[in-house]
Amino acid sequence: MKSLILAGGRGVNLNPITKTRSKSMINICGKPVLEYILLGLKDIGINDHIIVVGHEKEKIKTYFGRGEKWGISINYAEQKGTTSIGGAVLSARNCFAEGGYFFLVYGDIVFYPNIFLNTLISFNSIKGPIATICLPPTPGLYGNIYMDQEVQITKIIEKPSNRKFGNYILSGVFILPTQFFKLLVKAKSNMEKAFAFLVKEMGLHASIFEEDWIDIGYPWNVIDANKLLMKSIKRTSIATTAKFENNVSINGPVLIEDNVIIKAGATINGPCYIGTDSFVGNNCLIRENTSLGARSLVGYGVEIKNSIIFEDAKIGRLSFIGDSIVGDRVDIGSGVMTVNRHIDGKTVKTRINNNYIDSKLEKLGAFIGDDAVIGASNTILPGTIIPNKAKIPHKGSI
Amino acid sequence: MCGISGVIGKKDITKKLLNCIKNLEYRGYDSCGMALISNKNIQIRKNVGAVEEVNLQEKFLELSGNIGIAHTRWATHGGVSKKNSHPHASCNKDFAVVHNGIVSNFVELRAELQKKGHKFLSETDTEVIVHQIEECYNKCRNVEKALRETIRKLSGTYAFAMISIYEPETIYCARNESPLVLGVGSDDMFVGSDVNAFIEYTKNIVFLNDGEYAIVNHDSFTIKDAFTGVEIEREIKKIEWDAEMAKKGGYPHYMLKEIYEEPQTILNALKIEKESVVKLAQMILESEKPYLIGVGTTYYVALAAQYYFSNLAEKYIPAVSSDEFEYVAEVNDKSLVIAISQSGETYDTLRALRFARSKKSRTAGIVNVVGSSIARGVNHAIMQGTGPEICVLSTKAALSQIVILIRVALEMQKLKKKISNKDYQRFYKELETGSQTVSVILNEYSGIIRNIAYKHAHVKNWLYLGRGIYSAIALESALKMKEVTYSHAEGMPGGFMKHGTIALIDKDINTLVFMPPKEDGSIFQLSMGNVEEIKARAGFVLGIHFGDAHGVFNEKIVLPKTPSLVAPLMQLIVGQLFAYFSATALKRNVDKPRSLAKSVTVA
Repeated sequence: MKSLILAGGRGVNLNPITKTRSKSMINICGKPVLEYILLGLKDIGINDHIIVVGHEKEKIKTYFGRGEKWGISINYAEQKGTTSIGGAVLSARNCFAEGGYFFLVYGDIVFYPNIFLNTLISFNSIKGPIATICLPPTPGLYGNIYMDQEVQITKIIEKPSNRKFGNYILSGVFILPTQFFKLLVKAKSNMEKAFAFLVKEMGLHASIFEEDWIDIGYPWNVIDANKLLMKSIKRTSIATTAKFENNVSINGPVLIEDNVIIKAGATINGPCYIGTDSFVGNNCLIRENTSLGARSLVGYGVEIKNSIIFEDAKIGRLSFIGDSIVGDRVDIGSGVMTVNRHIDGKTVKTRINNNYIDSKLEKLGAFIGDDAVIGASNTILPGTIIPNKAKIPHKGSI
Repeated sequence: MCGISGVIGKKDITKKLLNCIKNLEYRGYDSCGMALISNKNIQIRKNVGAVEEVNLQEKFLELSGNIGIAHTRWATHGGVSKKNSHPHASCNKDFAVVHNGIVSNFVELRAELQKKGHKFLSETDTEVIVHQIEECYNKCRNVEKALRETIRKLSGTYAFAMISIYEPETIYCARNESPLVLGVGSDDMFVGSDVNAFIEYTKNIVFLNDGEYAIVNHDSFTIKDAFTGVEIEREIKKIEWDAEMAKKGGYPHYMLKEIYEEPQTILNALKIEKESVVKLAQMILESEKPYLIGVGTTYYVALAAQYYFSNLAEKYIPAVSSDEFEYVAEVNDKSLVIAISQSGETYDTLRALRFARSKKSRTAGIVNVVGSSIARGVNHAIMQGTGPEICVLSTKAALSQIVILIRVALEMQKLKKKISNKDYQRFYKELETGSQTVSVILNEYSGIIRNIAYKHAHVKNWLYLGRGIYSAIALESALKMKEVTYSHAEGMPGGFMKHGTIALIDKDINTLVFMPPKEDGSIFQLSMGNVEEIKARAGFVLGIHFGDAHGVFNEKIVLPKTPSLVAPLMQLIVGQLFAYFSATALKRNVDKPRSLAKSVTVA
């Protein structure tokens, strides 16, 4: 069976993170989201992939190539002039011969453990179209999938008007017959309609995934996804080329890659990831759920918790980074604080595309775009978004 | 509590045997093993763990043979260890046995056999069976005779299957107070603790009774009385449900699957033949002292039914926990004991029934498993027709039992001519519509219940409250929570809380209140009173109500408006879902919680 993976999405609500990369290329614990998907599929023996690309496609092609590095085969299809999911699916139609089934996977989902295994088991027992469904982690995402006791789906309402009901949603993982392309054409690229046709003509069985699943829609979902993937770090693994000075304390499971240097007095509390060639200075406190990308430079006495630092970033001495995302090549001066909660304990709202969206989180820090420079001694308030390449001057009192 | 199985055929049966014990895993899963005869040798492989795990280590499929027995264990005598797992072999490895039950005189038998030179390798009671057979065989040189003599020496409960190199074409099996059935296939014959073992291979089954044994060859079987040796005729019965029904489909757990089957469960319970229901109603009316008994969930079913009998049929029928029944109940030839049991093999309930029979009481049962000991042992049994329930926790079977008991109450009232046709029809209609409301809850509320459950899954202490029939719902829901999450949940009537338990209320204990619909009158107001009392002590309250209790809960699940008759059933289902999602949040082993087994067949 082949797979069709949608990785062309722009992710407009994810600025500034997705301005320079597709959603599927967001790097968490050393790997882009798409790599976790490919590895999950490889685990169940699906090695032939068609990836639909669009926004920032070159970054995907450069990273994954033809898939040789993973022992899989990758071909690309381009989604031209369409932003709809249905349109993206149709752009790969020619890559699939008629007859048989294929995996359809949305390229912006994060899961643990392997969601594809569930889907395949259901497919093997039902031998018909499968939609893997799950209950969303946040009430705002409820859908309404109606099914009978044989888990045959009878009706799908992706975005119900009455939000007081809460029920299953499509997880973005399906096993579909190739006839689905025809139905999609008939439905004028409308996925919800095409599924309705499928339900009527061939039936569509649900496979319920009762484990952790996240669809990356808003910046804070990246932090949730990071936390989720950290669960897969079960035991400590430290590259032999990593160098620790005396008095470094490591607690709980951590993943430390090649050539990492950790200076004396640092404490690392797992689960944590520290990427290749990174440097952690004296007396740093790297707390739970921190993902430090390759070549990060963390100065003296820095504290980091529940945050994702992409690659090549510098964090100056005596700073605090909490519940935040720091982009590629960001340069943070010394003594910068990301404040991660309001004093009245209210949930943090963030301004996204000119609307204030409630993250429903009591603790949320900042989202700092690629190549931004933050001057020393700045205090960044909860939920702040700093655009790519922004330059924020030092904050001096004299 | 264990599962035993045996297969004999013309060709290699190893794979079938492995599937049989896999299918029986819900009966016990701390260790397992298989014994096959090949080249006149008995080969045994066994170890600690669930079937899949042990198979990875021991590679059962490397064995071969056309006759074999297998076992999946839930330890009673002797710890969980490789040497204590079954099958057990005799000194010369000429015989191998798998056993479910307890041989109560095993200490004496073992001492006797040890004196005669038998070497025991395990701490189990089972091992005496196989050594005893060997001992008898050495004297008489006849396998069947040795088996019969052994059975006469055994006291206690057992179902066992035995193979021997002296008769490599025969499985012998026997039962006394532990379940055992035979399956008649086209090329193979099967032995199993219940039909789930081999339902994927054959639907033709033969039940064995207490004090009988069977001689099973690949194309025939003979049943004999263990004490007289006289052959007994027994007809082959056909089972109606199929193996597909016993599989998970697209569900992550059997528990969720079985909850999703509940709308159909209600309809099935309404389809049960009226005569069968009326007969029980008649028996109750004829008896001077009826009792409802059950244990665990079925006791709470009995408690809920108690309210329905009082309210619908104006008859107070005390609910008694089966394990306490003989110490408290007044039983004579005018009484009627109605037993509720999903498996029909519940030890405590069987024992209570035996006690009732010894006092000449009439007995009745509401049972899910066809041909089970309770179904066959009572004067009248209503078969639930719920289909197999695989998850160790009872969900749909409990719901079905309540619906059936509501029907019995309605029929009683009808027999007494105290209910108008119109009201009778209306109640039936409400039950039918109730099935649709359950669908609505499943299809539209799951996400809300899950998110609340996930948010509070870390809570270690829960107090579950309800008044009137909702007190039974609270008790049952608390039991579900305990069973599947291992968190502490205590159910009690709302009025009871003030008399002691209220001292526990602080911010560290969460309360779940099952609110009745407002039209239930005083119990609605009184339940609201409970909520206020808890809130006044800084307690957290999660309320499940029907849209008519306003603004007082810390968190709430608001259900669609439902008539009073079926409202408790909706609350029951929310309780089940809440326990299920709390358990998945905590990553518990939902279908097989620790220390629990599907049918408890030991004291």
